[in-house]
Amino acid sequence: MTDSLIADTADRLMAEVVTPAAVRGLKDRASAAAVWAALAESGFLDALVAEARDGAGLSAAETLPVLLAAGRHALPLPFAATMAARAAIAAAAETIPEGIIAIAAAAQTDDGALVARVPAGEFADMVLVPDGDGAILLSADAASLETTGEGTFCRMRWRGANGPRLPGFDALLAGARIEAAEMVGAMEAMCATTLRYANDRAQFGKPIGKFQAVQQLLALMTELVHGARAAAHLAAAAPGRMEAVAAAKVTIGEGAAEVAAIAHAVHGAIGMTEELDLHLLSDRLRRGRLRYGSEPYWAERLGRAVLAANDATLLDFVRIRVFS
Amino acid sequence: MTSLASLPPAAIPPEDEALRSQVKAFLARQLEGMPPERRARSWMGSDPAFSRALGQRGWLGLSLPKRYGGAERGFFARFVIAEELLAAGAPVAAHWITDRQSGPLILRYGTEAQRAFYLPKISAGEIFFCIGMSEPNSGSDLASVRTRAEPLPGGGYRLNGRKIWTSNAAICHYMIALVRTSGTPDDRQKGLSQVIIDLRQPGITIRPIRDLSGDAHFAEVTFDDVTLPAEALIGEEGAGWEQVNAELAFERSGPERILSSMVLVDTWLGYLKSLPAHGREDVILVGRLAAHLAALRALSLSVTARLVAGDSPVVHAALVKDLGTTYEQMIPEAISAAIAADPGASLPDALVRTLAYTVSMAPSFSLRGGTREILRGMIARGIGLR
Repeated sequence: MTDSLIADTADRLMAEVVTPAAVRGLKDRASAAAVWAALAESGFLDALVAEARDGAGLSAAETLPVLLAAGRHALPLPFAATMAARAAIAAAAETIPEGIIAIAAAAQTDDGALVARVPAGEFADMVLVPDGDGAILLSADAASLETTGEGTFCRMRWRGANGPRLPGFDALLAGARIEAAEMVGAMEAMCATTLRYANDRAQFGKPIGKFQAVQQLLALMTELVHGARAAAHLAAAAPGRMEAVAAAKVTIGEGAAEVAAIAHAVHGAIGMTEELDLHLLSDRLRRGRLRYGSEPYWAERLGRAVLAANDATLLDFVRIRVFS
Repeated sequence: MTSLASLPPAAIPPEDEALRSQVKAFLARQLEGMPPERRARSWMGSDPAFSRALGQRGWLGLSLPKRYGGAERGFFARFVIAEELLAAGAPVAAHWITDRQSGPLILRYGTEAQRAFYLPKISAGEIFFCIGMSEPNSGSDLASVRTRAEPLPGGGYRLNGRKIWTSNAAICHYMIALVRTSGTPDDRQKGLSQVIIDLRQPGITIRPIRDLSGDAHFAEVTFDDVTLPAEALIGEEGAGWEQVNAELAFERSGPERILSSMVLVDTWLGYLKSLPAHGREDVILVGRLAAHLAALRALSLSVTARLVAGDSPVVHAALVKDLGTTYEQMIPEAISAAIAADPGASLPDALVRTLAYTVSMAPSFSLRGGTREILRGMIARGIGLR
């Protein structure tokens, strides 16, 4: 499939299946069943799985349009995470399980139990949990589960955790990259919807988008979306590289905060209502920033790498370690 | 309503990337011992001999055809060389504007005779151009320029008026000026043309203007009954506005809109690396500087790919410039806060001087080449709001 064919197919799929009403109805595994069935039917789930394992063998860069489309529709289900998990499970020569797979950001042992913070864990049938220098695939059925009700993390606890191991799978890195890419999709949708609103809403006898003060905000928002998309491309081109993923999570996270603020400023009071869909996107961005390490976490890791490297200039560091 | 097309990612072709190590080696020799506060002048520091040395190596006129002395290599080759020159803080101002926009402009709009005359000298680093756009009463409102080239009976023009904030006028041989050749200022964009002015002619006064850092890189240039030959016209009479705007796409999207504060960054990093331990806030700032540089570079590369394809991505270039100069301006502010967070810290003099220069010049980053507010207005037009 060409880039634009993937993008068009993903856009159509998400527009049809991931409607605002559907998003509002997604609370847990049971309520996710119908949406998931439609998404699974699309064939995207094995896009990253190697051809030898009957997948499409596509790269992270080639499937970025799917993640952007999911973000544009504020899909709360770990669809892209499941895609990445299935490819990693196949690469480890394990059996790919059915159902929704979430990727945990962190895990620790507590009183003999394994406790993980799992974004979108409330929807998951299986969870990839960090374990040593890899990850372990655990069944959600074996876990007890707590949520805070606002959808960022789910705390899952396993006693006697046991499952296939994926050596070398960096759950935090994969999660951060996927999350950041979906955030860019949400930023794109926010920008488009805000632009539409500025053209429709009239005050002082003309659309508010005709006022220079508003135009300056919308121009900045457009810039931030383009910058964020460039960062998502960088991470997608080098998904295994900490420096590229860190650059994406930092710049996209910072841009998301500004974009959400502008979107709400332009929408005014109507943007604060439950009825308008705008908050589905701002919620998506809020969760994205908190998940898999926020901007300072990744900036610190990246900063330590810069200070430890012996590159002559910061440009050299970026060029060599992010781009090449 | 229209949304601005997203640009696909772009990479530098390997044959252009291969230039980098040669440029690095050359710069290591040329800049040896130059203190950071001098290198911090970035593309404001000039040295005609340095520019000629670049020309001798074939590193000017990279996008120009070989028959005009160019390298016929295109915008990515220029991107690589520009990055290295700017990261090192080389004194590039003498040739910078000539190489970036005057050469491509003459190639695109010039007659065969103009190309044959100017382009080989540009590629050799023998002649330098400045850009005559702003006037005392025409800044952001560029279409209101009043400098007039009055057509003479029998051909040629008589030029009267004044240009100001003209960078490097005092060391340049020629100016490409936007002037009125017909109509009145009320005609706005109509009746404007671009002319090439030989700055050594009688009737031209160049008065350098000292900037707040003590340098005199810009100047006021007065034209008093200057006679221009008919061949001074570049491009079409009356098409000056369109030509100037096409030129701005070259001017706004390159590495110079991202790297203006990089000598300061690397000087600070050098200081940090000399310390036994680092505070978390400093490390986070280092990471943010790297992260934003990466994203901006990716964006600038994708606009460069549009230039290579022959497009004139004016709105995308405006977007890169606004984001890039915001980054350039954030750097001196953030480093100021970081290095003096401990009142007892013993800071290297060169770092403090480099910071002082960069802080003082930072406001100009979002003024030169179109102000932030004007650029955002252009983007607003690009997304259908105007």
